[in-house]
Amino acid sequence: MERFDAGDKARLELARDDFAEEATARELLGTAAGGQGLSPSRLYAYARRREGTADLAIERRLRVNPMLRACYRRFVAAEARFYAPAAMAAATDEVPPRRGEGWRLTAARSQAEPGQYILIIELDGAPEPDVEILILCDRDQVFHHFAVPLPRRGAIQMILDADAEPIRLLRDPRTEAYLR
Amino acid sequence: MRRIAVFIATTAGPVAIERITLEPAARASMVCLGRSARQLPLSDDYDSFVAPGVGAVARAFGPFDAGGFRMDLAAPLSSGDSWQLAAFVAHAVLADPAAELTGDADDADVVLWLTGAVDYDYAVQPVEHVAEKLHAAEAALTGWSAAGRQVVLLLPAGANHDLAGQLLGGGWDCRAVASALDACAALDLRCPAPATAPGPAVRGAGGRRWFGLAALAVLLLVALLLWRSVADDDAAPGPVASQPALTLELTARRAPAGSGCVAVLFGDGVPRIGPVRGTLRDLCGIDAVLAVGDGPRFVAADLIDLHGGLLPRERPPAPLDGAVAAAGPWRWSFDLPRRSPDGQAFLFLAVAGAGPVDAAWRRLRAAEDVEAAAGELRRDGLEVTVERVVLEP
Repeated sequence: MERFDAGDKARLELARDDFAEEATARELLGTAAGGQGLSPSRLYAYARRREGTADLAIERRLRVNPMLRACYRRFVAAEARFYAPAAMAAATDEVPPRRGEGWRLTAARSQAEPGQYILIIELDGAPEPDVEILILCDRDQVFHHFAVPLPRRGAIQMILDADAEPIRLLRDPRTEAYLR
Repeated sequence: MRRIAVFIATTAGPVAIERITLEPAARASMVCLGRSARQLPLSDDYDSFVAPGVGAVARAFGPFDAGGFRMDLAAPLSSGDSWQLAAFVAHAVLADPAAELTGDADDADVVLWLTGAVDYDYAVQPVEHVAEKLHAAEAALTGWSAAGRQVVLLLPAGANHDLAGQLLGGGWDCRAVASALDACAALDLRCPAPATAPGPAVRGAGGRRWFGLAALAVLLLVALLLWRSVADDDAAPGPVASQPALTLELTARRAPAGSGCVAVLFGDGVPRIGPVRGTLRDLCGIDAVLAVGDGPRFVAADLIDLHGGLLPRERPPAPLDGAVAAAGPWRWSFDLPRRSPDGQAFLFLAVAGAGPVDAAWRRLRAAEDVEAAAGELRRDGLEVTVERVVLEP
C-alpha cells in the first residue's frame, strides 16, 4: 500500500486549494468531466433567482463542490442589499433574531395559533422597504430563496407554520440571512 | 353571555368570521383562512379598516394594545368592501363583555348575516350582488332558522334592503342600517355614539353612559332611516341599478414560499392568492369569477392566453356559451404549466344581454380587432367586457 506522508500540512492545503480552484474553473468553463459545464452567467442568474425555481443540476454541483458554493455565495452577497450573520450563540429564543446593518428579522409564536410564527422584517429608516427575496444560507452553505410580501406599515410580515422551511432554517443560529 | 355568530354574505354563500385575536407580535392586521397560516389578499384592506387614524374599527373600539388583529375566516373572500359591516359588528361583539364571538352557528344564540361597506364615519354604503348573496345563503338561513337560532339579516338601508325584503318575503328579521352604529344598537351591542371623536376607549366604559349613548344612537337611527326613506322615494331608478354591468375578478395562484408550481399543480401545495399583475414568475394559474348582477342573463365568456400556454383546469360552465340564460356568478380555473420567457398576455372576453348572445360571441371571437368588434356590439345594446392582462417575464 502506498503510504501518504502527512507531514507537510501547508503543502497539502495549498494543493487542495489549487485543485479546488481548478475544479471550480473547469465547472464554470464547461470542461468538467462527465457532463456539460456550468457557465458563470448561469450560476449568476441562479443566484439572482426568486423562490421556487430550484435547478437540480446546479444544486447537485453546488452540493459537491465547495469552491463553487463559495463562488455562488459571492454572487448572492453581491446582489443582496442586506446581510445578517449567524445569530448570537447565547440567544435563547426559539427562533433567534437576526440583526444586520440597517435591518433585523424576528419570528414570534402566534398567540392565536401556537403552531404558527409571525416573521417580521424591519429596515431601519425605511418606512416602505423595497426588497423582494429573503435568502437563508444554512450551516451546509445551501442557499434557500423565499419571496417576501410587500411591506405594510413599515414592515414585511409573514405568517408561517412552525414546520415551514424558513422557520426551520432560522431555528438554527448558524443560518445566515440575506435580503435582496 | 350571548354567543353571536357573524357571517359575511358572499355570492358563494355565507362565510363565518371564526375568530378575531390580537397578535402582539404582528405589525399589521391580517386575515387568515380557517386558522391556517394562509394569509388572504384581503389582509391589506382589513388592516386599513382596523388601523388607527384610517379605520372605522380603531375609531370605534380603539385604542388597542400594540400589535395587529388576526381575523380568521371559514372561506376565502375574493375582493370588494361588502365584508366591512360584518367585520365591524364582529369587533363590536369582541368589545362587548356581555357577548362572545363564535364561528359555529350551531353553537350560537344569534346568527347574523351581513353585507355592507362601512366608511370612516361609520356610514354603511350600498353593495352589489345582494340577490345572488341571498340566493347563495338560502339553505343556510333556512337551516339556522329551523334549528331554532335567532337569525338577523342586516343590509344597507335603501335599495339593498328593499330588494332583500322583496326576495325574502315575510318571516325574516331583515333590518336596514344606514350606519354601523345602527347595527350595534339594533343588536344591543356596545358601540360609541356617532358624535364620538376618534380614538375613545370602549372597553370598561360605565353602564349608565351606555344607556345614554344607545338612546342617542336609536334617535339618530330613526332620523337617518326617515331621511333615507324620503331620499329613496325621490330618487329615480338609474340605469346602473337596473342593468348592472359585467364584473370580472381575476386572481392569481402563485407558488408558496419555498416551493414551486409543481407542488401546487400536482401536489398538495397551498398557493398564494393575489391579484393578476406583476411578473409571470411563480404564477401557477389564474382563477376567474364573472358576475352579471341580479337575475338570469345570457352570457358568453372565456379567458384566452395569447401565447397558448394556459390550460383550462375547469372549462367555463355550459351556460357561458351565450345561448342559454342563467344566473351567475360563474367560476373557473386555469393552470399555467408553461411560461413564456418574453412575458405573457391574457385576454378576457365576455358578452351579456337580455337575449341570446351566441352569435355576437362568435363575431367577437372571430374579430381581428377585438376592441372595434366590442364597440359595435355595445352599440347594439350588449354589454361587452374586454380585459387584457400583460405579465412581465
